[in-house]
Amino acid sequence: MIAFYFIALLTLASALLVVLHRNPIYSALGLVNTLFLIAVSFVMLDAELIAMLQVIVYAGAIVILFLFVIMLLNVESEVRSARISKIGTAGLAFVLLFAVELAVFALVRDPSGAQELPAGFGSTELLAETLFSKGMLSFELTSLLLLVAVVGAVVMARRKVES
Amino acid sequence: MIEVVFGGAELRAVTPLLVVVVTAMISLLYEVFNEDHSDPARPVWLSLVGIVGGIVATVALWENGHSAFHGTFALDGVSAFTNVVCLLAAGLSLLMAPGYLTSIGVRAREFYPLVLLAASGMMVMGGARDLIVLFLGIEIMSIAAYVLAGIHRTDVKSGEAALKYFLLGAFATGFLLYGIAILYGATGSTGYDAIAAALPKASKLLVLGGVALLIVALGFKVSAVPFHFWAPDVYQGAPTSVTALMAVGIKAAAVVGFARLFIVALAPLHQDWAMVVWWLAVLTMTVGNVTAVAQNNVKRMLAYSSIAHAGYLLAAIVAGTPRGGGAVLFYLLAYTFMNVGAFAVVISLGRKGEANEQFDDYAGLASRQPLIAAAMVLFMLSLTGIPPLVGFVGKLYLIEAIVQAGYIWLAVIMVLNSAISAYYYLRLIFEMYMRDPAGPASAMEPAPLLIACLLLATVGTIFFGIFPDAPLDFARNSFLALR
Amino acid sequence: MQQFADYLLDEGILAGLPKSLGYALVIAFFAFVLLNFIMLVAGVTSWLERRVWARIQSRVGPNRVGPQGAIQWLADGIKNIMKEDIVPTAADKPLFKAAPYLAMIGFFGAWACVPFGDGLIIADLNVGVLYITAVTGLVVVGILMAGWSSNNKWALLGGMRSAAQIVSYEIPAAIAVNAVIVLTGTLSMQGIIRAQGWAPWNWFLFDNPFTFVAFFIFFVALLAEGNRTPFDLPEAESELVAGAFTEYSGLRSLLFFLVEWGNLYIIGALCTSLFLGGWQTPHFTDNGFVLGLVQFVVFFLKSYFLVFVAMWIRATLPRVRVDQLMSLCWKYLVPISFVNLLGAMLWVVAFPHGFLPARLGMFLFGIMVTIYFLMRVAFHLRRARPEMSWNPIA
Repeated sequence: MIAFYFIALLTLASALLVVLHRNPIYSALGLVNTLFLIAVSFVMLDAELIAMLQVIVYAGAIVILFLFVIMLLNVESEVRSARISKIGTAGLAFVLLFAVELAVFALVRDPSGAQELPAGFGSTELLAETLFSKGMLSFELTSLLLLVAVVGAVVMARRKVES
Repeated sequence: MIEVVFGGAELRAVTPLLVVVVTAMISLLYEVFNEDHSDPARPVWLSLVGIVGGIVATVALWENGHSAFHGTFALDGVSAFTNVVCLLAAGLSLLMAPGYLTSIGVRAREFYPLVLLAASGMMVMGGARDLIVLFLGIEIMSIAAYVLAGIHRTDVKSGEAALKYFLLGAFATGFLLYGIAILYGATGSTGYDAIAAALPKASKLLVLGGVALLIVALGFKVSAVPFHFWAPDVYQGAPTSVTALMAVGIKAAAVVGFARLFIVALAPLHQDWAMVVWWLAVLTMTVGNVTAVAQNNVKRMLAYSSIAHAGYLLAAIVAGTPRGGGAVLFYLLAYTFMNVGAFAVVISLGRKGEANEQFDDYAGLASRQPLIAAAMVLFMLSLTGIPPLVGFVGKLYLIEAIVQAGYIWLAVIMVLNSAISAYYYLRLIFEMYMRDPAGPASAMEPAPLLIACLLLATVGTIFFGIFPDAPLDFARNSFLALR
Repeated sequence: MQQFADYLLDEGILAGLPKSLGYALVIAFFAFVLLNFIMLVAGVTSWLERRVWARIQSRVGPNRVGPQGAIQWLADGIKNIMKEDIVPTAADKPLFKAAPYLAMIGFFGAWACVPFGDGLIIADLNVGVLYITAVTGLVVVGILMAGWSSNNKWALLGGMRSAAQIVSYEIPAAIAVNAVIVLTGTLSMQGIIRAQGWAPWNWFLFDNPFTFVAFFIFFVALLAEGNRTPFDLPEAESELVAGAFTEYSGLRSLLFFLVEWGNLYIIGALCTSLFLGGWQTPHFTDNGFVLGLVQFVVFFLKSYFLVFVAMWIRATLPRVRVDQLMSLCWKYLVPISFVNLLGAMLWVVAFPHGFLPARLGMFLFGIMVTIYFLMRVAFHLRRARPEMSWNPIA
């Protein structure tokens, strides 16, 4: 329980760093940290596979590419402007919205509905079983989605249109 | 050991999809190794084979009450109808593409496979009986559409359209996922049947929150007011053949996804969502029509008109009855023919370097291109809803379904809106027939494929206006069979 | 290790303490032991590498400190620790200071899943293989941070190259590992080793043609991930001074070198556990301690042989260009590994319990390749008639 609160607090802190820090590099690094800590939370929820995938995919690849772009563009620290504060207001509205929603979740939650976890919960085998039986179509469609994204990215990013 | 279920039902469900996707892949691979780019129309043929193959497979394999992959996907009447409509839309926009793309200088030959992939996403949406499958379908379709909208890379407007569409679309995806997550949290499932079964016991607050987010996301995809702001810019900026696909195919798939989700999975909540969608429909058709009146660009006018039509379709979903669903399906078929036809006419007037999309460019078209002008008259009248064209029949059954479900005021507003829409549709006819051309315009022969497209659209507009029974009965029965 | 920890907690010196504190102490103890082991391995590797290169290039190499220069690494280490730790004025100080430690964390974490023997592993996670892939991925963040925060063009370019390289080569590496995973049906390192045998024909390297190919893909991809020659572009001295580490000095630079040389051993250890039978030995004695020791030695020698091969490659091959590096990964390794994975899956479906003739055949094939290779070497040696001596100083 203590570990959970500790991790949760750290996660929140680094998430705030992402939003509040003026230097985009720090924000991106904060994002890495947040995602990594979320993976730790997954481990505490007995979902080791998800945790590992979270680290490999997000912290290990996606945010690295973010960092890449930010570093290559050499983005300067942002200057607070009226526009930013407007976006900040919108963000605050969303935060409030989600806070209300969380409250709803907390109120609605029915503790008596909590069940004993099935054996092997969170294990790779169980996940694979679900993925290839119930989620087979979704799984295959995801590959189609990736194909579309790859083709699209190549079309958009190709340096010059062939002649 | 994992039991992988892949039997006859599964094969039946995915065959039309496979035909289209595999054709797209073949044509992608073919373009990698193909060195000869002399004939811009050649890649079309392969894609058309895929489209026709998809339609044939759908017609041969559909069956009512079918469900596969643990009930997450189905090739029943509704999805068969959607498949046919979306593949028709994709096929027609493929037909108008080659000459047009050459004239605006787009040489990216990935265009054709991307259209097929977008169509496959639409087919997934039509058959989705599970929120995750619906999400994947939306994404497959949308990502292909983002790229297609920006495929004219040297054109700033096309780039702007793609970027706008992409950013707002990504935002909508966020809403969609969040809505799915909340609905899953409330009901414990993402399958439509299971959601419908779990709704009575689920916490109403959570469910309504999830449904609200889903309405936002799907409202964005069908370009319903107030989530429509992207639509005019994107429709105007994207290459016209892509606009046709977006205005017809994407709208059709999104509306069917909307209808299936709300009429099947959320049927127990009809009282709750009907009011929201009622307002959505009224706002959408009114804002769409009123704004369309003020437009001077034909493509933009068609964009607003397509928003208005989304409003009509939403109005029939409000009814929440199988009859309403059937009317929606039929109207989608009607809309495909008349709207794609209108875009084909827009394309046929374009020249190299000048789009000729303003109302003024249509002045005196009747004397220059009498046949094309006549076709345009047909499409405009049909969009207005003048008998005996298909648009009239479609609208008639939409109103009938709405009235039957007891939403009299909605029907009245819809009729009033049709009257408003008559203004700008007839204005185009007025331009073509009553005014003299602004200057001498060169007569240009439209490409043969474009002529084929126009011909198909014309025939469809007239034929289904006179003989609407077969598709209409089919659409109604297939929605009845969902229950 | 689990047993040892339980023993300490239940009956050993930690028995009286609260459970969580006891666990923390045990973890700290293991970490301390492991860190010292790593430093030793990395240090000795650094000395050995220099000696091996020297031998290959007909030089002498470090031979002054200790017998044959064997504690040269210790001298270097002490020297580095005592040097001034310079932080450039224009650098982003917090990130600059934190970067080496971050790289260290990612690298150090991987050791928790290295199986030195039956039971001689810090944590036999059931997602062990993925765990190693995940934590080593964190090294990239450290390198990128180092490159950017140095505020130096060469460092930035080096960091970029390194990150691009590691992210790209993770893909063929992960897919190649899958060829083994479909065979065993487990992601645990110990589980994978237990599925193999001590005899070479029971190793996954020779299990079927697809794992044979997978081994080489994996080894090449790991070399690239570890920024080893011929893929050491990120620190190509002729172009980038020292890549991301250009501005580092003193202890922090030492940490980066520790990561580099320690990583070399991880490469060997991973290949050994996944493809070369890990610590598997014949069960010749019931004495657990002796058996454990022999297993440890076997594992260590196998992985060190691969480390030696990596040194050998570094001393022999020239560096590739950036475009060659990327096209090797995306145009060759990735497609080959995908096809290879497909083949491995089909093989598992066809022979769910393995296929002995194929194993023996692959083993014989491997022996034949080795013999052919040795013959080639011998041929050239005979042709060149060099003055051979095993001791360069003599």
